Amino acid sequence: MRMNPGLVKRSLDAHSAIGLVVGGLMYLICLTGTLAAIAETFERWEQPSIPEFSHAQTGAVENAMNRFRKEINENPESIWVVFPTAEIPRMHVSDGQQERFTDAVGNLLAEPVEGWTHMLRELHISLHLPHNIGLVIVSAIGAMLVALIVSGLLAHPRLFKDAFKFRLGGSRRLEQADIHNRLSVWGLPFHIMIATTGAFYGLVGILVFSAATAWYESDTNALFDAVYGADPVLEAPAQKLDTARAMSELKARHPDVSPIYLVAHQLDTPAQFMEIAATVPGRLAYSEIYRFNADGSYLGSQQLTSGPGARQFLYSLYRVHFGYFGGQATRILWFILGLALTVVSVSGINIWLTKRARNDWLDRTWCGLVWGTPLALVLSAAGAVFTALSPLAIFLSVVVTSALVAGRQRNLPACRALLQATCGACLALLAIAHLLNYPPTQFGHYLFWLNGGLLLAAAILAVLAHRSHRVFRDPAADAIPVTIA
Amino acid sequence: MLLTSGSATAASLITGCCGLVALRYSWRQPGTVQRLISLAGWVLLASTVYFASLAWGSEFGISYALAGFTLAALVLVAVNTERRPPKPEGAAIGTRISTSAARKLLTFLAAGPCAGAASCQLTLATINVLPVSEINGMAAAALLFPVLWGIMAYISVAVGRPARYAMGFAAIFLVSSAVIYLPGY
Repeated sequence: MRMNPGLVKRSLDAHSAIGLVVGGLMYLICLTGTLAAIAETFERWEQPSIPEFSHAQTGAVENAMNRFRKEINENPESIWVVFPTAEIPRMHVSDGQQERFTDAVGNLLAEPVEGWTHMLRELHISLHLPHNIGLVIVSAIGAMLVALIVSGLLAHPRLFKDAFKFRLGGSRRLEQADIHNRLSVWGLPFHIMIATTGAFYGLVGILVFSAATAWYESDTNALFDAVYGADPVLEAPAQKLDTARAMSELKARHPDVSPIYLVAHQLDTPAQFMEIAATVPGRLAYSEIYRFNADGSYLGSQQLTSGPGARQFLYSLYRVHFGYFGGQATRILWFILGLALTVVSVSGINIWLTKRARNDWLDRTWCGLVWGTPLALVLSAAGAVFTALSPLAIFLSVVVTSALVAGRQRNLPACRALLQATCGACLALLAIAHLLNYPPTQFGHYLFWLNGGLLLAAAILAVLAHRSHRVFRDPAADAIPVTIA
Repeated sequence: MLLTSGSATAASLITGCCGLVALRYSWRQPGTVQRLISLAGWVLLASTVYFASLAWGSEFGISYALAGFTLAALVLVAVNTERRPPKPEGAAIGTRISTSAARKLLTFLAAGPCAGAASCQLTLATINVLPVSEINGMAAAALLFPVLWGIMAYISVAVGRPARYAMGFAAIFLVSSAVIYLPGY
């Protein structure tokens, strides 16, 4: 591919400049996003004592709603009952503010904790900043990922010639360049999808505000109604909800769909109605929403899977971004691809640092950030599960401490080895402690898999630490150091 | 011939693997035969998407085909690993960014908020003048906005005249806003 050398150089400079500005945040967003692909399993792992079951018993929905109104909130505007699914085989009831798990017959149990998994999701979605501001910043990073993709492709005239080249060892700069280029080029479809779907969630607010001002007299609700379909407007005598009839109507009309939640809106008013959201087999749309009168008779659907193509497309972005479709295998696949994008983020900065060839506080601080962040996630998870300490406070203090301490070290490989070893050891201890406190035979076999995965990750970190240590002890060692940062 | 889900899955896996192997085999090889093998590889990869859609439906199938393509390709890259003895790094390679702080800030503003605001309004102005429905327009805008912002950011940083681009983006913002907000458009 012959490209203008001037274009290539300008693109490479632009790629470097944009990458340096956003690289740190992009690493954090990619790492937390990677873990968010299996966040449902982490939710269960974090609160393992909640009873799990695949189907609620007859009458459980009505019982859950009644008990919620009796014990928690007598007059909510809406009540949601979320059904067990294969990924989270638990049921809970909520009015949008307060929430309780239930057992299979609908009796109220503990509240869901807003612990480590909540912190992880908030870090990814909004960096734990004020929500709207954080959302826009994270989405702007998505737009910058598009800029990096465009500039990266234009800066890579040897795209096809180097397609399968992978040099480990040798010059660290070339090693990092090969890691960066191979992962980013072959992962292009995934990266474009992540960038555009990720940018959607923050930028859509800005778009909607501007469009509503122009075409809907600043009424953003009117715009959302036009795109996603409006709520039904009903007028009927207030009556007791017949959730059982609604569920049986749904099963009779759409036997292939899988309900995920039932919500009753505008309770005890003439306008009250029910909705049941259900996943449709083979479809990426988050759900189809089926509507029912208070007496359980069927009204129709919101046409999220059968209406205008654009509506179906927009409603599919969430599942495709996080890999929340097709079961655990897809989530693990998205985890692997997300990890690859995380490595791309880190290796880009590594390339710039090796080109600098200064090996100073900046190199070591970056190393501290890269390996301190997973360490911070491990320690904050341990704090959330076994203590009452704030996971966010633990996370922030460990990241800052790692960066500051690493910045003052003299030897980069030793610093890297120490952080990798510490992270691996803490991860192993966390997994073992969790297995001892919550035996999988008692609390669920999924704990074998997740804690086993944590132990595998600890083993990989131990190998990386060993290799980093060998570089520290003998920089001319025969074994090739495989390093990520 | 009607394929079952299982046979379509098998077909997608086989065509995907064969397609990537064909690309790997023809990689860096000169000659017409190798170019034909490379072309055959791409055709096989395209057919992977077709068979995956038959097996899992178009939405799941396309997603799995593209994700599987990435994983399989990376496996081939790993197989092609060339191990080298460690080598000391050479001298620094032109990483010094020799621009002033003011210029850096202007570049950030041009590529960031200015390009963002301009791309938002330009996106809406574009769908406003195109003969598309409201829903299709908003869906297109949702995709177009970040892509346009990314491209504008790249151009403004690559060309390296931040003040000019900041003013240009401001002009785009104003003209697009006029198209969107003023009656008669």
